[in-house]
Parts: sequence; C-alpha cells; structure tokens
Amino acid sequence: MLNLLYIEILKLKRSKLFMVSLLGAMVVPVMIFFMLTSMRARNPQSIITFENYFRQTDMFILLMIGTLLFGLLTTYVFNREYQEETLKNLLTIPVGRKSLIISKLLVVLMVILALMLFSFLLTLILGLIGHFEELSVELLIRWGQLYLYSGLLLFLLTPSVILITLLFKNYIAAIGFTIAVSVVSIIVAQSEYVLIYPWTVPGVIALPDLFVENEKFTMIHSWVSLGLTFILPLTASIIYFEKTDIN
Amino acid sequence: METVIKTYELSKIYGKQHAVGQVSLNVEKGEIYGFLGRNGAGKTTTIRMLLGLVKPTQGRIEIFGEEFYQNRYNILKRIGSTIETPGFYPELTAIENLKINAMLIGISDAEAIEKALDTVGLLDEKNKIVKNYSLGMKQRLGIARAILHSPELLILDEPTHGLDPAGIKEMRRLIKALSEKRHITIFMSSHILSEVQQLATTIGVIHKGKLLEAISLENLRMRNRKYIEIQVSDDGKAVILLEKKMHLNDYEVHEDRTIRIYSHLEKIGEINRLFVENGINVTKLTLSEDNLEDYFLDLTGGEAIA
Repeated sequence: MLNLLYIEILKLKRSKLFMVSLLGAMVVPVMIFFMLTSMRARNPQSIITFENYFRQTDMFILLMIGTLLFGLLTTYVFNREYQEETLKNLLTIPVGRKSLIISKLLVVLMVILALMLFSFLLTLILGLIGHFEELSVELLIRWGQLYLYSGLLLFLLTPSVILITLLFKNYIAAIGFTIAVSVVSIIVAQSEYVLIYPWTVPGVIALPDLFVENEKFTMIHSWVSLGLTFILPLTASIIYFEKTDIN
Repeated sequence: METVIKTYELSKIYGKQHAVGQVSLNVEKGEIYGFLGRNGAGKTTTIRMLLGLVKPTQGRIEIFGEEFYQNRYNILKRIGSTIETPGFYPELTAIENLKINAMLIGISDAEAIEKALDTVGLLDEKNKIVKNYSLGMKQRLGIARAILHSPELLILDEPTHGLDPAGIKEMRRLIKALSEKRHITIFMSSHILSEVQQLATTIGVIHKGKLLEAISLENLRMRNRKYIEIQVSDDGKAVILLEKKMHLNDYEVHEDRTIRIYSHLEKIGEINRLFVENGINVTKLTLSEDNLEDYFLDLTGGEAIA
C-alpha cells in the first residue's frame, strides 16, 4: 500500500494539476483579502481581525470552492487512468482493484490537506501584509487545526465524484456534477436543509456557530448525512470497479 | 510439449452481440502464436479475457497449467502484455514510467529498467518525457514495460498498430529476438496477414468471434506451395509414369483425374510430352499457386483480412 501511495504521488510530478490546484486554493484568501481591505478603505475606523479573515476564508472554501476544487482533483486522479489508458497496465501487473481505489483516495486526502494548509498560510501572509489585527499563537493553532479539519470534512464528499468518474469514465460528467452540487449548496445554505445537504454539511460541522439547529434537523442529522455520502458511494465504487470490465 | 495458454469454449456476450464465441485456444511453450483477424473480429476481447480485464460470459482459461481466475495474481506476475496502444503517464520520463511498474511488481534490481530500455533501443531516450515520444517509441516502450520482469509469456495486442514500415520492421525484429534469445512464449494479435506470416510459428484465425482454424506455419506453407495441375484421361497410368520415368513422388491425385505435382515445376513441358507419348490425353495443364490470402478468404467466407 505504501508503494502504491508513493506511486500515486509520483504520477502527479510535472502535472498541471499542481498549478491549477494552487491557483484554486489561492482564490478564496485573495478574494476575501480584497473584500475586507476595500471595506476598510471605505470605513478607515474599522479594524480587520485575523479571526474574521480566517473564518470568512474557511467558510467560502467549505461552501463554494472546496467542493469544486477537490471534486476536480478527485476526477483527475481517478479519470486519468482511463484517459491515458494506463488502467489496463496497472490491472495486469497486477494491482488489486480495491487497493488502487484506496491508494488514490489517500492521495486525494493528502493533496486536499496540503491545499488547505496552503490556503491557511496564504491567509496568514496576506493578513500580515494587510496589517490585520489580533494575531496570536492560540489563534494560529486553532485555525490551522480547523483548516485541516475542514479539508478532512470536504474529503468525505469525494466518493460520489469517484463513483461518477468510474461510471462515465470522463471529466465532463464528474465536473458537471460538482458544479451542480456547488450551485445547490449556495441555495440550500439559506434554508433549514443546510444541516442535511451533504455539500453544506462540512461547513455546518466545521463552523457550527454560523448555523443554528432547527426543529427538523440537528447536528446528528448532519453527521449521518455526511457519513452516508462517504460510505455509500465508496462502497458502490469499490463493488462496481471490482466487477466491471476494463475495455 | 508444454501448453502455456489453454482456453475452453471461451465466450463473451455483450447484450445480444457475441463478441467472442466458444474460442478454444492452445498455445504451446516457446511458440509465437499469431492471432489473426479483422478489426472487430474479437481479438482484443479475447486478449482482455486472457489478462483478466474482461470477465468471460462462459468458458475457462488455463495459463501455465493453472486455472486463471483462481490464481490470477500469481499468473499475471509471469505475463508481460501490451494492449493496443500502450498508455503512459505523459508528464513522466520513460524511466519514471517504468519505475512505476518496477515498484509495483517488486523489482529491486535498478539495472532491470535500463536493461529493458536497452533491449528495445530506447536507452538513450530514457530521460525524455513520454509525451514527446513518437508512436513507434511508445510501442517499443510498451514492450520494454512488458519485459521488465522477465515474463515467461508475452501477450501483445496489435504490436505494430500505427507504426510506419521502418517501425514495423524494427518491432518484428524485436519480437523475433525475444522469442529466440529469451525463449519467451509470445501470443500476438494482428489484422495484417503478412505480419503474422513473417513472425508466427502458429496462426489462429478468428472471424466474427469464432476461432476458425489454428494451423502451424509449416502446414500453412504446405498449403501455399506452387504446383502443376494436370487433368488426364487415365490418372492411374499417369502416376505410374511420373514415379517410374520422372522419379516424382511429391504429388496428389484429386477428383476428375486431376493430379497436382509439387516438385520439378520446371519440367512441365517434359511431363506433358511423357503423357502424350504414352497415350494419355491431357485435357488441362496449368502452373498454379495456392495463395495464402485466398486461403484465408475461403476460411472467412470471402471477407479479406488485410
């Protein structure tokens, strides 16, 4: 398994995905930075805290960019074996089909966590450049952990993208799916279903103070929703991939 | 003779379409088995079943004397393969691509990769990124990847696909060398008759999913010989004359008092004179050749292979 993991990382060498992912991970910290600094420019008396900057950035990643960016990453890691016709080589070496899915899943997790760390560090650097206030070691540790936790929660959404990639064997279906669920996230974020819609649930769990439990749904429902969104497509992906013909 | 690949009525059905129907293959150790058929005949589907990529609808596969699906992992470790155009990670170099295979197979010998690249003549290009390789180079790199772990059996699907004449010649030389020097059993598919004819020791013809015939090259050449075809009034007397006066034994007597003589073709006039002088009427006399392509046309019911 370690070999497979190392190989999956080796496969990303010189890949354009690195640059695209880094650019994607830069979008939210830069966007929020300009939003906050322009607000301060309009009202010079106001102060911008690191707490606020970290929170807003994390929220936008959780509710918008994360699903898109990590969906794209997942699609690339899985679909490239079909596009580059390398799957038939891997499976005849032979590599176990289940092991292949799990090693790729672990690579996706590692890259997601690395990108979240990158976003966190960029947010910190931009905050320092913008002279944002109330920076402390405690705040850095807390938000550093929370960014990684957010990455972990977003990772739990990736099996549905894997399943679609395996079923359709192209980028279009999987990317279309991530765009669709992201758009729905924005709509659902304003409703009571924010607590159970899988693609808003990471935001609810990571930043619980932003969302209130309602009569219908509690945080338990959120966890169940996210758990099922991870387990069911992953199980279906493994079963399908084990049984399907590689043409 | 040890059998390396044996299939029992192997079939693959997609919906109502029989892609492969009851194919029973028998590939002996050390031979180059040419799996000949038109595009869409069922070659690639059969190969994918032999490699475990496609599950047969019915039938069994034995490789190295073992049941394939019960010992798949161990069997595949002894096989090298390329299927159609081999796929690589385009951003990686040749050596990095082979390193992936070497690691997955568990090859610790660092020289194995260089040796494989050297065998296919790509050692000087080892640090080149694969997306900059030509199709011919990719095909050769595919072979290098397939022989990396010194397999006992090579399964090659259309190894000359897309190559220019020089590339085809080079690939042919390579396959021959692997068979002769390393004694690897080779099962290769092709839709080009001349290619298979030049390489294979046994040819299996697949058409519309059915294995029509498997024939050794020796037998095939026998069928492809030139001969004198002569129709006479008395075939009994004629063969006695051929044997006693001309000392000819390499002949066949067919229907309608027709004799086919396979040697001394230059003596066609002499034979005619001999018969006439001995009171045998010659009603037909031709110098003929069983064309290999005609043979396959007959086999496939008039549809050409290539």
